[in-house]
Amino acid sequence: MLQFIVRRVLMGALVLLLSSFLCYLMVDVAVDPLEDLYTSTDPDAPTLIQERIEQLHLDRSSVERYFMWAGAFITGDPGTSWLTGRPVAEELRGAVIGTIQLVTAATFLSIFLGIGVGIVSALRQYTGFDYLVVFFSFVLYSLPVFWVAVLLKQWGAIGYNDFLADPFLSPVTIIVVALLAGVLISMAIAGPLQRRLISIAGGALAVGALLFYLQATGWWNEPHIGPELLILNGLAAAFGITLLSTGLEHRRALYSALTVVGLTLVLYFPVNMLFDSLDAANLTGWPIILGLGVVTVASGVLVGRLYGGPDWNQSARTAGIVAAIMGAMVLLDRIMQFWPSYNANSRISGRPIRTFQERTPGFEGNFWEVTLNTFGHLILPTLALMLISFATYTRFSRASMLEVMNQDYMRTARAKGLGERTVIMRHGFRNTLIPLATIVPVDIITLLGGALITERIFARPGMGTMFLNNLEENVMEPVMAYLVIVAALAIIANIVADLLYAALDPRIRVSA
Amino acid sequence: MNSNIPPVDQDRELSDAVDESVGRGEGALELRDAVGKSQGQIVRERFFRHRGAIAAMIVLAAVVILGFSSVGFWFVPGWWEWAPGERPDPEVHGYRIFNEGGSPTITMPWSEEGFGIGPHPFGQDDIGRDMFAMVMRGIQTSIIVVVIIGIVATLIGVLIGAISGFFRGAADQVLMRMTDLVITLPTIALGAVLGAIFGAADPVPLALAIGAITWTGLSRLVRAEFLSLREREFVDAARVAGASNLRIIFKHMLPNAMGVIIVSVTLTMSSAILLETSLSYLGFGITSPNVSLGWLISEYETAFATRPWLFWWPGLFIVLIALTVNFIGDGLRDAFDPRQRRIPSARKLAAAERKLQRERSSRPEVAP
Repeated sequence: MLQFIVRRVLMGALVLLLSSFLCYLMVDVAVDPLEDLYTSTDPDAPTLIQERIEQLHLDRSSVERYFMWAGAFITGDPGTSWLTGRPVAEELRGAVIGTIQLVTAATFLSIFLGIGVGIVSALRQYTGFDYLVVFFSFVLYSLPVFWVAVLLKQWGAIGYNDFLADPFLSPVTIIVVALLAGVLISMAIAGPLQRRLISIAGGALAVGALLFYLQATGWWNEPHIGPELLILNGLAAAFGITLLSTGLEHRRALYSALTVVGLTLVLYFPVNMLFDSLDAANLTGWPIILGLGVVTVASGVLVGRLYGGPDWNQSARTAGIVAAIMGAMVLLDRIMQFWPSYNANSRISGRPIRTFQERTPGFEGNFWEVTLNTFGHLILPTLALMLISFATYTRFSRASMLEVMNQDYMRTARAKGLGERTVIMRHGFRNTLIPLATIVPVDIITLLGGALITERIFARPGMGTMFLNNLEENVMEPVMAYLVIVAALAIIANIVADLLYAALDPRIRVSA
Repeated sequence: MNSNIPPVDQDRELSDAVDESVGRGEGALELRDAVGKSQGQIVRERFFRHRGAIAAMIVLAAVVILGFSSVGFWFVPGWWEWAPGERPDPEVHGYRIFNEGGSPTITMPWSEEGFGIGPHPFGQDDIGRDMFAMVMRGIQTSIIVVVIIGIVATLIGVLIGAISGFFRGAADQVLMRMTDLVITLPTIALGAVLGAIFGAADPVPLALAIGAITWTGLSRLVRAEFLSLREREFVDAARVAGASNLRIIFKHMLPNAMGVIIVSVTLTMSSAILLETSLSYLGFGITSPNVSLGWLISEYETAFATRPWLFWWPGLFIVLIALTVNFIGDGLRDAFDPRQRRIPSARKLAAAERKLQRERSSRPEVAP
């Protein structure tokens, strides 16, 4: 194992060295730092050209310059941009933070949704739902991201902001949306005609009632979860998670999940008061929220443990997941409480969804309002990124699940009389995730370096923007820093994927 | 699986669905389909059964024919009135911009006027250039770029994959590390650097450059395929018969790896469309005076609020081309995959069952 890792890392370093050399030669051809001076009408241009040639050592061969650059880079100095005079390391730090902010939510959401939809679609193979999912994943897969982004700007931002100015859904819209949702839900549930009709009606009624509630309470401009929706969502989460994780017949798990929901309701007001006092002391920040989140999940697990029983770890798992969901909802509710004041801010003036940059210039507010501002800028690029990677994950997990469903161990599991839930969740689902372990690390890394177009369109600072701008402005060092970092990350991701695969699947042995 | 096969009963005529020559049980239906046919026939039949792929192929053919015939290609003149970039002359045509703002003159069958295309079906831009001609030229560019990328990627990928899979050892190590070298960099970033060197003037160098970086997936697949093929008996047989390495590679192994290659190339081409349009959009690909679908979108992006059609048409055709190629690739994959099984839907099974019951009840009982 150790030998495998050492060998791969050494090999990776060698590949990296070679790739950086080739990249340097290529970028050197692509980039001409004297371009602006050649076209300038400044009478001093020849002397300026001479100065810049000396500054950038352009009189030496590119191989020589590569070794100068590589020596500095390895010792921790990625150089300085000749255009702005800023050290590349500084520029890089901002870019990395911007990119991580952008891709985190998109990656996790698309993984969750993509795997979920892909698996359901595989379970309903050869049904209308399956064909629909396959077709739409193909369409999404074929969409150019720059085209989607412009559409999102038009409808997601301008359209939704206009809608917020006068949020009114006509009854016809509500009915049509509700019916569509009902049909979609019934297609996913499938089954005999009677069950389909019931799920159409149930789904349509639920969605219709929800839309009506949102309309009647003016939710669009004063979004909230509040105690009443917290109960409703909490019950849904408790039953849903228990159903998937242990089955409803596991009473202890169900009770611990319900206890967690009850605890959340009891603690809802105290937690809000805690946040109020933290706000007043100007202490609210992500470290505290993260800490509270850990406490929440831990207490959920504790509840499950306290219910005891021979298989308490199942209750603990269920309660932990429900606690995480409830905690997220309380946090979301807290953020939503500041929506009206954020919306009324003079810098926002009723247009909360933004299409450019990562924050509104000159925007000031408390922690929650600043967070909302960040979200308002994040939502569109996140959607754009999600749509495309969602399609990839759906296709991949669908194929993986279909493969698993045909395995002998699935037949064995059914033959020995296990329930369908256990067969699918424990024998099918877990094995479906194994091949995904090889693409997820690589994908995350690719996103880190590869959100080029999305960053460019939404004018967000990030790795991609840094790369493109400097390539256009003929600054070599940041371009090289980007390429080397992305290549290094890709090599690491591949090693991680191989190790993960070997750890998850005992049939695979790593060999050097 | 057994539920697909009608139960064997005393009634021979009804149960001849189970042909003794191909056996029973799992895979029997697939075998029945394959009896007495060559590999090519089986693949072709499976492909033609994939309705999505067939529809996609027809649509793609229509788009290609439309794109190449309408505005002319090379020295062949097209049938469309306007050339790409041409504007109506007020003195000759009596107008500069036909509809107000240059909106499309195409009318749909369900509108009051009925179906008609008018002089500028896709509209005109702010200075009156005909959008249809521009989009058609963009389709031409994209198709040419994609085909060249496909050819280059296939040649490099197959060559490298075949050599490293067949010879293994040192050659394999060197070639696969070289592949790693290219894989480590995101194609779009590498493409941008290459585009900055080769782009702009002519689509062909750009396509060659992109093709030189998109072969990696194919070469890995071909290598894996060759590694398993070279252990097969027919390769041993060929070697014993005195065949040279070249002959074994090209005559015996390559035809057997064709399925993998075709599928992978199709999918590479569909992602190459998006890569080329993305690069052109970013300004590192094809730029004026050449027209590409990505360039059109970047050119007219800001006009979206006022002249949305300038933005809709090129995007629509990018999606259409990429989607159809993807569907064809999917159909090919199904056709080449021997594990693919045709499983009738529950409804069809029930219908077949009912039909069987009806026939059975309408027939007099046969004495045993």
